[in-house]
Amino acid sequence: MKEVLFDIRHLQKYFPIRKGFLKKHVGDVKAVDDVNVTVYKNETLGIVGESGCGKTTFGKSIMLLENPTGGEVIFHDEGKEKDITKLDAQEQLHFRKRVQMVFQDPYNALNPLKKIIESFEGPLKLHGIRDKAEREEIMREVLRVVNINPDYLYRYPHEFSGGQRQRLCIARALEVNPEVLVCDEPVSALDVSIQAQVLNLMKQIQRERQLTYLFIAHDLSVVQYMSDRIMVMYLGNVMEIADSRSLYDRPAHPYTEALLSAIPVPVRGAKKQRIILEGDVASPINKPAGCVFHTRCRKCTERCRREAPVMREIAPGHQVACHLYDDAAPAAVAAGEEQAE
Amino acid sequence: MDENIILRVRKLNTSFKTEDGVIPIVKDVDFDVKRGTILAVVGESGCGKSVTMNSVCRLLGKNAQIEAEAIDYMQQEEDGSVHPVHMKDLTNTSKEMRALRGKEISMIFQDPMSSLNPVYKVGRQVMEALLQHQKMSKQEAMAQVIEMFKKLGIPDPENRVNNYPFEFSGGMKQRVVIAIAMINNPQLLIADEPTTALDVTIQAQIMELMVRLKEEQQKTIILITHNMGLVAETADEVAVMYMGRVVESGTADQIFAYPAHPYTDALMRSVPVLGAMEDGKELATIPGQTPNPKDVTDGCEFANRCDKCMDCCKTGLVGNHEVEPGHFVRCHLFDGKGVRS
Repeated sequence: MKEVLFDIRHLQKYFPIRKGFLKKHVGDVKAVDDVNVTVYKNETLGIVGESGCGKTTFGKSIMLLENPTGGEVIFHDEGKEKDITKLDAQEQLHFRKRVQMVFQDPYNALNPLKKIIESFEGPLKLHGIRDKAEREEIMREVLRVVNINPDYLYRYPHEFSGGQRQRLCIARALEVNPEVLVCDEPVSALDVSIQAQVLNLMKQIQRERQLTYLFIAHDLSVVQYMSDRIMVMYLGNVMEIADSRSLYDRPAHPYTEALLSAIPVPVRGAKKQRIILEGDVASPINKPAGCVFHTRCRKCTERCRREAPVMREIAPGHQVACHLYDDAAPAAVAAGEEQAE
Repeated sequence: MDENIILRVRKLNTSFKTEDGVIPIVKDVDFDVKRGTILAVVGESGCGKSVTMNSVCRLLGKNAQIEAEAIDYMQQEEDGSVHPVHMKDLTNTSKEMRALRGKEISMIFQDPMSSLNPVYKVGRQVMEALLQHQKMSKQEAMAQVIEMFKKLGIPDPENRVNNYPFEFSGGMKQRVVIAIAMINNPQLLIADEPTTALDVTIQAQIMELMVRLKEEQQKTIILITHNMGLVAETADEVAVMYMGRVVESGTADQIFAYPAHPYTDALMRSVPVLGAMEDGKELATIPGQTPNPKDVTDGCEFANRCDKCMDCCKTGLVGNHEVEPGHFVRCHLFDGKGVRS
């Protein structure tokens, strides 16, 4: 039985655009629009999409690094359910201890003027560990977890390579003993041979510490390797959620199909049917009416231009927002899947 | 000399003068590029793949020292006759070199955001390359630019030539950069990580365009990349580089069927393959990290990271062995072994 950790309902984050002397509100960048998803304990939920699809804003909203402008995020904490958008300062601090983040660029995530120990002490002090020896013990322990010599605590960030820096960032996230790690493109700045080291380490830490990962990346092959379930986003909306096997074997949404087919596979002769999407992603300020993907969709119908599709479950655990599956009788679903293959 | 070869490089050595002395970056690089094919140069950052191509085009700074036995470009005249240009005898800014660059050989750079001048209209930037090499009026040149935009799939070319770079999306900007490279109808295109800064769906569009240039106009393309997937899908020939040396070269079919060098093999196994990963299986990793070029000592550059390292790898030069016709490997594992049939 899977235990629910986050229940995200109608999550919305709009950034207002203000213009002129009076800073008149002229529109919104709809970065995250009506996202509904459940995150289970000890799983990895992968979030993929092209740049500007809102995946990072989604990750930050979950962590309260951005305040959502609508919807609720229910966090299940030791039997209690709390909406994190309504926490007071004390509760927020407690919540942040449970959820930590690993950022994209390890070169910018560590202060170049501070020794590692200085960067690492902050969170521990903030979360009330006053004893210096105890703090150092914790810091040494997390460095051991990420295979970095604990004596390197007294070095500066420039003395480390990219891969080591990303491991340091993971270590810093781990020191307050969180349950959830939000990883925003943790390997995209790294070389391929270093990527594999970091990915394997992250998997190992997850097993040992029973962590839940929200793994945000644009590289679907990396996401698929890491994730149990994958959520595909486009222009702030969720297109499809499925476990990673079925997403690959039976992609339901035309966007997922195109995204999968666009990824070059390092196997000679694996030439598959490639669906090349025409044009570019539309603007998140003026989103297309109806389905946000209809401007680039090859299966677009009249209805897609008028009416936004709602998320429906087409198989256990497999949800998709597309008018192709409107008559979601099981038979029609099976037919749709055949068509997709 | 073989008429099918467009570029022949023998024993190219490029080093840089620095405060720490002269540091060799490219060492004894040999390769041939066949007319009308795509050669992929693969390797991680810092392996010398860009420096190799910039040495050929003479785009390096004053502190670079380029030595070579031969860098020959086979120029094809309009009547079909071919005569070699010995590029190694030319200086960076000589008339002959300037006549080659842009007209015969042109380059597409990695980051479309920074390879266009933000304060000039794109039409003017493309036209500049044309006026440099051909005598014509600005009106004629602009007509050709519009024609080229049309060919490269930039919608509404008549108006788009009057836009500034910031008015284009990343994929469209890269098309403009390709237009600059293509406007003089060069025979050899050197594309240095042309899609690394782009989203996967846009990457698919750009790669399709490059393959079409090869197939429809018999262009020769050197594709510099670290993405094994792109190599598998587009390349005819492959050269794998590590720390300034070509460690393995051959046709793409040979390299993917039988990656002989331990580095090539590890590189291929360290990237997650979409849909082909068994659950719970870990990625292969390459231990350690790429060394700083100034710390490289005697022997095989890969020796300290190689799982098949032997005593003989640690000193001396490593021979280049032909393991199949046209498939060369620089590794002691193949010492004294004949050609595999």
